[in-house]
Amino acid sequence: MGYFKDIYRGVSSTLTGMTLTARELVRPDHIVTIQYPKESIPVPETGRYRLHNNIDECIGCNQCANACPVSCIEIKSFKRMDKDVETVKETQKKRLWVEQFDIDMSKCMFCGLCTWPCPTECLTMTSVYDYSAYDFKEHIFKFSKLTPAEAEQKKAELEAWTAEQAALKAAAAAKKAAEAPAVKPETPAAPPAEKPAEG
Amino acid sequence: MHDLVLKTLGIGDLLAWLGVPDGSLVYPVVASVFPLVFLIIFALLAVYAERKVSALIQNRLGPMETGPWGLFQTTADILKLIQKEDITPKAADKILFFVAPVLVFTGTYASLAAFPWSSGFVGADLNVGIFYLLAISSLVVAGLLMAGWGSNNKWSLYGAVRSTAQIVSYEIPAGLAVLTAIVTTGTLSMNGIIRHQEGMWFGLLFQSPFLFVAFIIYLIASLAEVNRTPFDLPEAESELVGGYHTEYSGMKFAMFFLAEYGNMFIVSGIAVAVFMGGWLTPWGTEPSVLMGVVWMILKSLFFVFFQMWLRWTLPRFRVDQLMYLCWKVLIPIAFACLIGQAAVEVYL
Ligand code: SF4
Ligand code: SF4
Repeated sequence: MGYFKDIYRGVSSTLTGMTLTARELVRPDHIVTIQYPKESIPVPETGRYRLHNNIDECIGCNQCANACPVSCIEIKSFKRMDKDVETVKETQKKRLWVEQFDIDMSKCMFCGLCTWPCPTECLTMTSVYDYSAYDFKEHIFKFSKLTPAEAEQKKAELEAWTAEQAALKAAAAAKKAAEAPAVKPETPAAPPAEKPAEG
Repeated sequence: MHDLVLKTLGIGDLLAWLGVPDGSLVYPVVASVFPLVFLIIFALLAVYAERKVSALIQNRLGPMETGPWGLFQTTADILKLIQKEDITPKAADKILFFVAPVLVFTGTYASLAAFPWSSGFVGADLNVGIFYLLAISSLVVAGLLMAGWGSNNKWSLYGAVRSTAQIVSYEIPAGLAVLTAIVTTGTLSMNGIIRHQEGMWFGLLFQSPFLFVAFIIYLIASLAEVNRTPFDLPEAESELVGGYHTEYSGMKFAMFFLAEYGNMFIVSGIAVAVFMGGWLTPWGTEPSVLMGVVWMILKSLFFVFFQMWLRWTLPRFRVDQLMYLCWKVLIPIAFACLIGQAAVEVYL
C-alpha cells in the first residue's frame, strides 16, 4: 500500500506548504525588507565608518598617519611662529600649521588604529556610511582649512621671522663673544643655525 | 465574433461615430486586436502580481520604486526589453530560431479564438471548441522544440527535450479529466459546456466526487503544460540557465514571455469553463453579457493566482518524479474518474 501512502503524503505535504505560504502572504507585519535609501538600520554606537578630523584641534603631530597600516592619511605641515602657537585641550600645543590633511577613504579599511594615538582625540570615526561616489577621487576627504595662498603667505612670514630670529641670535652671540673673548677663544662665533622649516 | 465584440464593448458605436462605414475592414481588425491588447495588459499585470505574490510569500516587498507600489515596474521592464538588441547566435539555425517564438505565440493567440469570454462573446463557438483549445495549445510544444534545437545550445536542447516529454505526457491526464466533464455535459462546444452548468453552484465541480478529482487532475496537468513550478523543468533556471529560451533576447524573448503568461490565463480559463461554470455567476444564473466577461475573468484570475501561489510553495520535481506522477498516478486516477463518471451518467 506504499502507492496510496505516497499519494496521501504528496497531497498532505502540498496542502501544509500552501497553508504556510498563504499565511505568510497575508502577514504584512512579517516583512523584513528595509527600503534602504528611505529607511535604514540604526548604526550601532560603536560603529566605525567615515573618519572625521576636527582640524581646529589637530596639532599635526603625524601620529595617526604613522599608525595607519595602509597609509591613507597624508599630512603636510610647517612650523608656526611663536606668536601663533595655540593651546588645545589645555595641555597640547599647536606648534604646526597643517596645510594638508587628506584621508583617502577609498583605501581605508576602517580598522580605527589611527584614532588611538591622537593626543587631542580630534580624529574620530563617525556613523556616516553612505557616501558612495562615481569617482573614487571623491573619496579623498580634505580637512585642512588653510588655502594654498594662505599657506604660502604663512610660509613666507615664517621664513622672514626665522631669518630675523637667526639674525637676532647671531647678534646676541656676537655681542657675548665680544664681551668675553679671552675665556673661551675656541667657541664658535655663530650660534647653531635654526632648523629649517619643516615641510 | 467581431459583431459581438463591437456591440459588447461599444466599439461599434465608437467606430460608427468616427465615420467608419459598415462592413469596412476596420471592424475585424479591431475585433482581432482586442484579444492581443488584453493579452499584453494581462501579461503586464500578471508579471507584476507574480513578483508581488512571491515577495509577500517570502516576506519581502517586491518592486516598490517605479510608480506607486512599483505598479509600473513591468511596463518599464517591457520598454527596456523592446529596446534590447535582437541577437541571433552565429551557430543557430536561423529559420527555426526565428519561427519558434512566433509559433509559440501563435498557439497562445489562436487559443483565444475559441475562448468563451461570455454568453454572446465567443470568437468562434465551434462545436468542437474544447477539443480545438486542447489541440491548438499543443502547438506550443513544436515551438519549444524548434527553439531548443534551433538555438544550437546544449541547455536549450535539454530544455526542449524535457518540455516535449513533459507536455506530451501531461496532455493525457488533462484530456482525460476534461473528458470526464464532457461525459456529463454531452457536448464539446465551449458555450454548450457552460450552459449545461446553469443552476449549479460552482458548476460541475461539486456535482460528483469523480468530477472533483478530475478537476484537481486537470489543474495539476495544466500546470505541467504551461511549464509552471513545480513542473518548470524545461526552463529550470538553476540547472539549464534558461532552458529553451537561453539564447533569446529582446522582442523574441518578450514573445516567449507573453505566450507563457497568456497560456497561464488560457489553461485557467479552460478549467473555469469546464469545471466552474465559466461566465455563469458562482450560483449558476446567467449574467448579462458584460457581467459574464467580468465573472469569466475573475474566476480565471483566481486560478492564475493559484498557479502563482503553488509556484512559490513547491520546489521543482525531478525528471523521474515528473514521469512517475503523470503515468503512474494521474493517468490511472483520471481513467478511474472517467469510468466512474460514465457509470454515474448511465446508471443514475
Ligand atoms: S581606520 Fe585604519 S585604515 Fe582607515 S585611516 Fe585609520 S588607520 Fe588607516
Ligand atoms: S594624531 Fe590627531 S593631532 Fe596628530 S595629526 Fe593625527 S589627527 Fe592631528
